[in-house]
Amino acid sequence: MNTSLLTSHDASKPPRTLHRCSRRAMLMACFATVSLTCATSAIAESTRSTIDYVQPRMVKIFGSGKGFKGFYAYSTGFLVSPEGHIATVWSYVLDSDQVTVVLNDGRRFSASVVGAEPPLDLAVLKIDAEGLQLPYFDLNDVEDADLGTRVLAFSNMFKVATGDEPVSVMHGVIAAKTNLSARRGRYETPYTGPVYILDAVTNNPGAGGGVIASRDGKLLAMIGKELKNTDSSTWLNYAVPISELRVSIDQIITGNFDAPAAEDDETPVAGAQYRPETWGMVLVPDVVYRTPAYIDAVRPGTPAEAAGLRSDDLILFVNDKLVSSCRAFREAVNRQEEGDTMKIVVRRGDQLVTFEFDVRSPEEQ
Amino acid sequence: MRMSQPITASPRRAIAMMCLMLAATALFSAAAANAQNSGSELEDLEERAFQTAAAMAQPSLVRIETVGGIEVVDNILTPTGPTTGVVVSSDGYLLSSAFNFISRPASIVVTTYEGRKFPAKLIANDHLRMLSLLKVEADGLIPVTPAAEESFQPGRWAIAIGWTFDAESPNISVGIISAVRRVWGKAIQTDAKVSPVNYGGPLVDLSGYALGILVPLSPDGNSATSGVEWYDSGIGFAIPVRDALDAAERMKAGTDLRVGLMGISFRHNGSVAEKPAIDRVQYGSPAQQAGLKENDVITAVAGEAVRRIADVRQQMGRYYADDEVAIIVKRGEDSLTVTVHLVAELLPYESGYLGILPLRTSAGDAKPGDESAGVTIRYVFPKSPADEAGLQRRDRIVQFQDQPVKDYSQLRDLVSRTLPGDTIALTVLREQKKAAVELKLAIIPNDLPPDDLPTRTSQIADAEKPEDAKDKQGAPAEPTGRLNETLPGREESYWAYVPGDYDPRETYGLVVWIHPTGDTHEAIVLERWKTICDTRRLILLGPKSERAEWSPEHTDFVKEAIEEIARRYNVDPFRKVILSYRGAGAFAQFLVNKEQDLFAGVAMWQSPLLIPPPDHEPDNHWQWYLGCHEDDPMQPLIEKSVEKLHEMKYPAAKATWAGNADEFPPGETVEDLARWIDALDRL
Repeated sequence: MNTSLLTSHDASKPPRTLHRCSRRAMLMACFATVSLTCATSAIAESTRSTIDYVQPRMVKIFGSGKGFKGFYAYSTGFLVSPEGHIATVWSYVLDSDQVTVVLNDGRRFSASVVGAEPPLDLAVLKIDAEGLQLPYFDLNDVEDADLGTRVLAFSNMFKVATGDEPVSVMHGVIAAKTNLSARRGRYETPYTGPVYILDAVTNNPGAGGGVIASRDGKLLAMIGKELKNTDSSTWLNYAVPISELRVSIDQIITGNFDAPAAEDDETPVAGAQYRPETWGMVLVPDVVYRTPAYIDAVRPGTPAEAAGLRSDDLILFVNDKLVSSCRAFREAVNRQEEGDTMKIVVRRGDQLVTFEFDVRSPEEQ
Repeated sequence: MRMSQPITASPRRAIAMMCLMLAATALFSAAAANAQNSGSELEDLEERAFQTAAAMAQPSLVRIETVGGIEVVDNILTPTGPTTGVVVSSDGYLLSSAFNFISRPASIVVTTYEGRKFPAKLIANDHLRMLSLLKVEADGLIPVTPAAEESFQPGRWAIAIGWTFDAESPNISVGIISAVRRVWGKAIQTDAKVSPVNYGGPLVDLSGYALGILVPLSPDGNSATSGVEWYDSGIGFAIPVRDALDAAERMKAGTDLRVGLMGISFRHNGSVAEKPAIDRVQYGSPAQQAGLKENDVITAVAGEAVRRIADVRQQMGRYYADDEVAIIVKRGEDSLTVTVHLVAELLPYESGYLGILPLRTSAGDAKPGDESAGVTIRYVFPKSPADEAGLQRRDRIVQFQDQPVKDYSQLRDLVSRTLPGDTIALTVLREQKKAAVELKLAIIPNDLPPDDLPTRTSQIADAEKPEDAKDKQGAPAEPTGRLNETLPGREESYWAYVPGDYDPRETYGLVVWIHPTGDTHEAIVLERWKTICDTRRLILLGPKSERAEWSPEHTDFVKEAIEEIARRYNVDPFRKVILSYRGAGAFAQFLVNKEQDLFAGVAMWQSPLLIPPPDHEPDNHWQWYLGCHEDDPMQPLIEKSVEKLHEMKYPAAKATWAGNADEFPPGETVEDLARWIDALDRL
């Protein structure tokens, strides 16, 4: 090793002072590092653990399409059963005798298409994973996300990940929740149900079949195929909620197509126990589909009056969930349970004001 | 961890350190565990803040739907889906991005936050900041709240909000402020994703207060679609909310706001990093009216010091037409402050027109205070302002507005610096009596002068010639008829024709004939022009380049030949014309551009405009004549050339002829052309 090499190595070494530091300094440094980690890791930790959780459940898919101009022969999928079932988007990539699946650790498998649900743009593949104990997403443990929720997107976009490299991760927020059917004809897609619009550029070659996960590792949605908004000629970054896909995935895996195509997610509320009026809030007349939840009047001698709510206050959040209408507010109030504390955030002029109410049975109040 | 023999610290101290460290580790583990379970606190808080900000901003949003309109503008499919707007006053004024209305929709429907729907009227557009002001007949709307000053800092959170995807709730994109005062000082830049799904919506801070209104912008373009190509790229723009509200206030009057122009240019190939030395001040522009001059160096704009061309653009980029801007320039050693009143459009210069021809013998003869001072009218063009005001042949114009008229060249200067449409007062002397005449100047007509335009000869026959006109004994004995000459020290030669009855007390027009390569056409040109030269009082000059094509190197030769003729004969500077045929037009145009004072008129047979002429100004006041055979393949190009000249507000006549396309020069057109030359000194 010559001198110049040594010199260049020096540059990559930790600062010189550490070489001859005293034990005390070392201790101090340790202490500093720990406290720093303590401060900064608070930001990164759940993101990192989510990535650690999701990555082994993601697969890279390679199929046909290679050689055609403008077509790419790869996409993304995710494991959904201990037997090696993989959910992905239905596309020409799968239209091949030879579909190859590459796991997160680089293991390669031949895959067969078990079934597809074209109206959902969904396909399920299977690899022979008998006895391998591959990790998978439990489709009963999925979540719905609200506008503004921070999310992570995982996909094999542009197949930048090769071999045992994990797929690419992007971050963003839920930009909107909408229904593609409301805009039928504007998008060339068979799927017309609810979607998340993402504030992240996920619309990339090969990203279809990737997943959107919340920061705490809950599976939220599957990234859709590339789609252009024909209204504005802009690309659409969207993902289909797992709740829309779950039944079909189950049906394809089990081969049992008798189950109802869609189950009612709404758990019926047992009786209209709580109403805004319970606390003395009178809402404005609910005239249109989404009348904002303005307080029209506050009854005298009620908890609402005692707390200081006023007419013209606009109710925005109930227990940190956005309520966009009178109807949504009534539903949120209705879901309260005895003994809870109901937190309400209102917009008053340009200010946000928070109120808390004890949830007790109407009789007690 | 090994704990032995600390070198500098006491054991007790080391133990204390270790305790601290352990405590920290414990703290860390707790934090990590907590993060594992429920997500980190900061991220949660931020996420909550995004949602709160969107919820706070929401009541001031409107959703805009349009019906009808054109589909493609600037090669971009116009948006037909819902777009976004922002409430700026409770009584129904809304701001949005001008991009959302480029299709000129037939109908606009606005849905407010409460779900009420209103038809909206587009009140005005802001062509500088690319905003549109809408009005709905509603009250009780919730106007947007401007963010506090400290929110306008790069690095602060910025949330772009639209209301286009879902009727229930807005769509958001989260980013930070990337920069302020972008795109020539107009915009906040953000890395939040800005696109047709939120153009017109607000960019808000974490409190949900408005930072700006989202619009597509580009430093290089100025149309409503400029910058759309950057959608979702991480480069997005918003007009700062205060500027947007000011613009809304101004637009309430119902007139569009336009980019403010002052009419100066810097050297075209000059880098924006160079010092702002003015290269040109456009005639009639606000800059000229404010007294700015070439070579002035701008040192401050609106109180802000400027050092480079880019600084000037940055400062000026924020102003509208009708704004007044204080500008400080350095002229030599002096520092001058001027106020420039910006305009929306810099109009090309156009000369006013009375509709008369002057009697030429009086030109230059009068002395100040002389009885004969003024300009005598030799001809009044039918239906011209002069005709309509009742002016007649032999009337003498002695005063223009409050200026006594001494001679033709002074009157010409006064008329040429008055705009078409302006009304002026003339004092006219008719049979020893003064009369005041008011007339509204017109534009110089592009048509050829009427067929019956009297020749000078016919007017002499009309007994208007001064008494001493026959007294020719003092005339120098310059040769007349056909001449063949060379200039001393030059190889090239020229030929010329001077009318046989040349009278040095009259002025003569000069036609400089630039022959096509390879053939001087001397004999035929002379044959066609001889009689016409006699009647219209013209001298014909034919510089020759027999061996080589015309090239810039011939400039001096042609110039010297013209000067030689002008020295020996009484040539009227206002009737000097360059005439070319086919390919020689290129050299003729080069010459005109190079030697801008050499000619008053440019006539070209079968040749389009090859070099764009300089801007039309009182000092470049050429008149143009473009002639072409009706079947000539050049015809469409020549047509376009004439249009271009008209756009630049140059008087330009177009003549076409039929018959034998090979005949040269085309017989009857020589007559037309001579009449055009004879009217070049029209006012």
